[in-house]
Amino acid sequence: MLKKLILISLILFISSCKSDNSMYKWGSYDKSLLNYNKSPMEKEKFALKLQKIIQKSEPSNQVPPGIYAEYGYILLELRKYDEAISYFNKEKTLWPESTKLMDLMIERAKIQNKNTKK
Amino acid sequence: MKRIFLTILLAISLVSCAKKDNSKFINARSSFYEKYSKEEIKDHKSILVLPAANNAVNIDAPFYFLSTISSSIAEKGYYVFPVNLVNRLLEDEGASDANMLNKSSPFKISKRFGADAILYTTIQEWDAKYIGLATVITASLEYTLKSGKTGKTIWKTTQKVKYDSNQNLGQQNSLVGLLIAMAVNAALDKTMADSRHYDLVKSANVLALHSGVHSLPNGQRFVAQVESDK
Repeated sequence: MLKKLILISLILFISSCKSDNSMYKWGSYDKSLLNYNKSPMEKEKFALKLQKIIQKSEPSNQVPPGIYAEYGYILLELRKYDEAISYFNKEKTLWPESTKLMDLMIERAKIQNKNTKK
Repeated sequence: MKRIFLTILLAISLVSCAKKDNSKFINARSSFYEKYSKEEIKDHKSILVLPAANNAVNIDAPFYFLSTISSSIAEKGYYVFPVNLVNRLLEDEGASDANMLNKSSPFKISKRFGADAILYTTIQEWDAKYIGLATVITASLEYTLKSGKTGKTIWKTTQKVKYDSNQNLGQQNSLVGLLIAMAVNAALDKTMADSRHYDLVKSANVLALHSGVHSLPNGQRFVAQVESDK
């Protein structure tokens, strides 16, 4: 009986709960992005979802690659330039692989910031 | 004590996994795999995903693909570029035609974004058939990973998946039971249309990149993760 229970539990865990051994905490990223693609006007909603993913994954150092950058980009679209730059920098620090693209984005944010102040 | 613990364990397994009904998704991995060398892949730390070219009738299919691909790549130990940001940049530059993009040179895209490798994807088939009250969706996606350093194809696979709402009906032995099951399925089909497409493409991505000997080899970050656990 005991052995059976262990076996069943194990099978259930392995077969359908793969997300348990994820390297990162993705939260609702997939579905939020899908919803955002369907209704691109809802920028604030998408920004909030990304913020939540960051809040939940930061404490255990499991922020998925690209999330800081996606959040930074939405902030840029919402014209929060300084905040956007700080998140592009976070992405760059955590993922040096993103350096080239993040430098490009930071440059873009600075230019847009200047243009709005004129 | 042990018994209680195990019962709790079983209960947790059941509860946390009850929502997922993978039995209706049929993995029909087919086709061919490009020969790759693991050493070659190891030099590539980052992957940029291009929007998928769409040969299917379903116009939403590329959205489902782009929304679900990131975790499958990242969990293999690669840096995956932010798909929404990249997609918007490409659109801004007038390069939003995915069919054109999928013919573009990996050198060019790699240089533009600083990516080591580029994932080109073609949705070959995305077909929903409604037979009576049942729904059958078949999807087929072709994934090609090209090196931005050498331009060579370093990994390639085609994944076919199928969703069949009739899959579980075989167990019904009475006609009444069968009719009830079909009605339930039909009702579910209407409310869950979105989530079914989502589940289907997600399972295609996971299967293509993670299952079997021809899955994408682990990247450098994956190795680092395993070592730090020891």
